[in-house]
Amino acid sequence: MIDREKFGPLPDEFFQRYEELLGNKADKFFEYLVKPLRPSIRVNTLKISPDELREKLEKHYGWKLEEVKWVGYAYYLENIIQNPGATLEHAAGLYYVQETSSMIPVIVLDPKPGELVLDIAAAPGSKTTQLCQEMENMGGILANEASRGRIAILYNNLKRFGAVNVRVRLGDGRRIPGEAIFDRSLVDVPCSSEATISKTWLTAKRWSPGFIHHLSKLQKGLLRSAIKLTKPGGTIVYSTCTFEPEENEMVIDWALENLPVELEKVKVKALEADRGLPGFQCSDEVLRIWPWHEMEGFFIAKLVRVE
Amino acid sequence: MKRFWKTIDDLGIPRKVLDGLVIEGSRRGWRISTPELDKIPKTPNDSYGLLAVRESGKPTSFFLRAFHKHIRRTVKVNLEELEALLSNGQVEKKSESGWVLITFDEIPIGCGYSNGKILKLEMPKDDIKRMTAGLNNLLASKK
Repeated sequence: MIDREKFGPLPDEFFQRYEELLGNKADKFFEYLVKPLRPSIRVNTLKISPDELREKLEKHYGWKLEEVKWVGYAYYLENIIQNPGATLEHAAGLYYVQETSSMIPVIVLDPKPGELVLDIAAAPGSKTTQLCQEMENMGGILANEASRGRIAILYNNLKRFGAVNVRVRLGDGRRIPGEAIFDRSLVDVPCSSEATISKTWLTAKRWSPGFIHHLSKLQKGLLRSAIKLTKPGGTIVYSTCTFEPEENEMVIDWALENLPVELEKVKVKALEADRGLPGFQCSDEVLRIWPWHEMEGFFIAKLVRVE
Repeated sequence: MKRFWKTIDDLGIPRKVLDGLVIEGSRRGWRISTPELDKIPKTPNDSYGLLAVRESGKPTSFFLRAFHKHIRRTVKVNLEELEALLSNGQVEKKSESGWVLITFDEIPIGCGYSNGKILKLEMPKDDIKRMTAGLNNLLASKK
């Protein structure tokens, strides 16, 4: 029996939807959805090595750090009493507090130093700063953000991280001018954020089928724009932190039918995850993180721009 | 540009560390970025790179932290000195005169200025707030 109080103001429709979608896995889904997650951090390898940082945090705060094997530069934190975002090391930009699943899209995108990369919905900058470190602070990143309110957070995080290879643009990602110059594009879109329900009830408050439909249109627009700006042969990674098929598999199937892209299988070594929901063209190639993987839910698809 | 390079040289940053980066002056000071950013179409009010040195020759704390591994002129402070710096803004400390990077246990804290005897903290207020919160957590863990 589900304790509905744990889910805040989520309407009955949400529960019905996932009971229908997941069948006998629905109870497990609801149970894990509101379970607190292990906090995790990503090391800023531009400034410090993972080993050096671990030594400092264990010595200064008595934390226990466990390596996230499939990332290589991230740790789970244990034995923490303090806010992990309030340490000297954090203020110095030596690490970023980030859910492990949110590190997957950049790993899948696999940007290289010297390339041009588009991050179409960049704030607050967790993935932009991860792009910086993967690119060794070389090449160029266009970090686009539509929200004036959120762009200040993006600026601060980029400065704290020590990024020199980012240009920040304030504006609608669907209307970025220019040619197909980017080698890779990250399309981590605004979404209904169902995976973050345990963190904030705002997600539950604004949830409705109409909202999801509205977001789906926005997501398609952003994906179309990113594909237009990516060079033929370039890679596009699409991701969300929601479980809605309308914002995930259905967006990718729409892109495969309407835009010059092909699908590539998402592979992350040593990561436990599921493939997409059955019944879609992209089902076997995309990746889904469900709450029972003990990470924040995520959806990741990889596309390649064709001529 | 003379003032920019004077600051870089004074800090003991080898010039070759900045090889391949674009250094551009503006009213606010000198900004460093990558040449590839020029290939991305500019839009009004966009921002790029990292402000490294202010027009006065003062290096920014963000720049010092980003390049901390290459800075020779650093002043290492202990816990008591860090507490004093963050609460009073200065501490008695003999060191090389001029702009410096203050470090604690090899953590790059930020920009300071030394006259040889007194070390002054030269960081933005928000930065000091964040560092103070971090220091308080560290002190609480030690108890």
